[in-house]
Amino acid sequence: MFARFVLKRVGAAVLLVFGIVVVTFALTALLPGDPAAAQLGDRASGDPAIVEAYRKAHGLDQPLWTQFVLYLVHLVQGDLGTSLQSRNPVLSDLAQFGPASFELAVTATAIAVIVGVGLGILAALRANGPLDHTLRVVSLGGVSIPIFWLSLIAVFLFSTQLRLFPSSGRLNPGETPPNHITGLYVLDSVITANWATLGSSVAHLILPALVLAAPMVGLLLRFTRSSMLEVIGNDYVRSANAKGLPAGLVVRRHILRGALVPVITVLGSAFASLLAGTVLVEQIFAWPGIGSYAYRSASNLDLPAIVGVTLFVAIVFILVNFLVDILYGLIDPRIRTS
Amino acid sequence: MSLLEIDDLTISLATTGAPRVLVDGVSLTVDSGQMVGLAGESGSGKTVTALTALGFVPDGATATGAVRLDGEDVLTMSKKRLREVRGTTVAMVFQDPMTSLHPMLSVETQLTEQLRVHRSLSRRAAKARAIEMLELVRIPNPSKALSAYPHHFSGGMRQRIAIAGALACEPKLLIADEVTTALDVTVQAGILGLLEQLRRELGMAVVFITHDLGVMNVTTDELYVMYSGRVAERGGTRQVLAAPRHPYTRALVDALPDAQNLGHPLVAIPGEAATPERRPAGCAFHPRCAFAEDRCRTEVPELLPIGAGRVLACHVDPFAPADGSATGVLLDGRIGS
Repeated sequence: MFARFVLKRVGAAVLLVFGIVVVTFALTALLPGDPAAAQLGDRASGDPAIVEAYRKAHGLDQPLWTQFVLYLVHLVQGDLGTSLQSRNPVLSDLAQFGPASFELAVTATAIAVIVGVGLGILAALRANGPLDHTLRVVSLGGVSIPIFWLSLIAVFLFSTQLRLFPSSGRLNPGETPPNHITGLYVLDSVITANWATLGSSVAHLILPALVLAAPMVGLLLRFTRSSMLEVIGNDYVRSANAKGLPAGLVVRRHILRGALVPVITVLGSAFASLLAGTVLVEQIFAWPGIGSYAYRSASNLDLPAIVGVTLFVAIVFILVNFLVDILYGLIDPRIRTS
Repeated sequence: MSLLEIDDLTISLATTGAPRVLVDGVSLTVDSGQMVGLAGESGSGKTVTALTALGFVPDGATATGAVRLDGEDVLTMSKKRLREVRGTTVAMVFQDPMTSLHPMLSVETQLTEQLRVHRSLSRRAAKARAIEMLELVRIPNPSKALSAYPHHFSGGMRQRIAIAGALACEPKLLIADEVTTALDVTVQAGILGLLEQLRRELGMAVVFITHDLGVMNVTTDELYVMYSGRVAERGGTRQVLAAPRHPYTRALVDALPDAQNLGHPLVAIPGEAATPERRPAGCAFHPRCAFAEDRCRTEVPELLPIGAGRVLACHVDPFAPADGSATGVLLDGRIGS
């Protein structure tokens, strides 16, 4: 039964990916700004013959649907085109920058889940007490403070003033990255037992991850709190208490279990805002990830790269939501068996 | 010593205005193996009264008096002691089995967790005991039922599972709060029969809460009729229902549908039930009572013995028998057969 549930979700995810492909393609076709002109520069784009040759070479003179089919064929072969700016295949660019962003996003999500859900539980158990009121301000701050501002303040406070953490990059200048195994510096330096690099990569990771986690912490805190409070009022919690179960067990097994489903649902959408946040955070912390790559591509109208990044981010987002759905089914038997 | 002795229990909710009194000086005793009924409309305080046996007091309310369970006052127990007593000495089955079972936990978890906590049973021993319990409440195919979830069962089956969970640690006292109300009539009889059988087999006492007097007659030995947080009348269930003495009890009995008055409209009690926010002075029932006198409007009637183990709180006592016996005016055989 669970296999069928998973299979259904996989089918939905595949359909979604195809939809994303169509939409990204349509967007690039409709986008104002001529890639040929942007790429050729002012002088060359003044010459219609050059522009025409360029369009022909890149298939831009074909009818739209032919372009789309061509695009699909290339896509299936893993060919996302060549970045106009780096002159590398977009796919290899993504492979290069992806792990950095992945490391940052996973760390931020882990921080957000532990801190956000943890504080949310505390707030619910001490509802309307002083701790709850303090946490309400914390959560409001996390959600509403702009991430670029938070980044700048964090850099100023913890790097410039307190000198606790470095303010940019994944390692200090001159340090060699650990052997490429997963591309995640923290993991790779653990695998290769490279402790000096481990310390440095963790120190570099902390500030951007914290900043990136902040809005998610706020969101998860609020949702966990309200979801817990809703569940606490349920009959089945009273049943658990009437059985004389220890308070900790009632919270962990009965209340949290019921409260987690909406929290996990929110986690999926919170991850979307986290992906958006990486563009800013990576830019400010000079983190060589997809966000920085996206920023550079966008400001140079590097169309293949933009499409590649869009597709990549969309697929990651779909994947995360797929995982959320599965998790949802694992927690609530009514979802997987009906 | 009785198993449960509730002594002059008053529960009030502090509000900005006058405190709202949910339960007003209720005393109640339950002996081992006895089945006691608590009847009354919603808001009469019957559930609030019974829940104190587990140490549950509504949020923000204060309770005075004593609730002695096996000689120990529940109201002054430590939180730790309360959790020891719950499930082992006193257990509870709730009204709605659709919501009282956890929808995301397997039946096995919900039947074994209290055994693992209170009896420190191993997983296997607890599971064996859970299967035993499911057999006891007549759930078909118990070992398969253990791995299922509540949504796989009908309401009646869920209530049986809830009962199995409540009885797992063999409590001496079971509080059954409107356990048949949310069920179909045909299923109700099954649950009532089951409770009656379990009481006999396990020798436990039951406090049976309902607003349905028809159900009371089948099951309980002793009946308390409550109105607006006070006991209106108490006595052997058969006697009380056959010859109600309090005008409120009488009205409740008259409001019961049965085969004899088919085709006749049911007699509804006029007016609205008193609530803790708006409780009339004197006898709380007086605005709805056809026999009310001036005294009823100002003076709260005391609970006084009227013979044959019955007590009554009524100034007027309009249904007192002429010969002074406790029987009262018999109703035409509608109840008690």
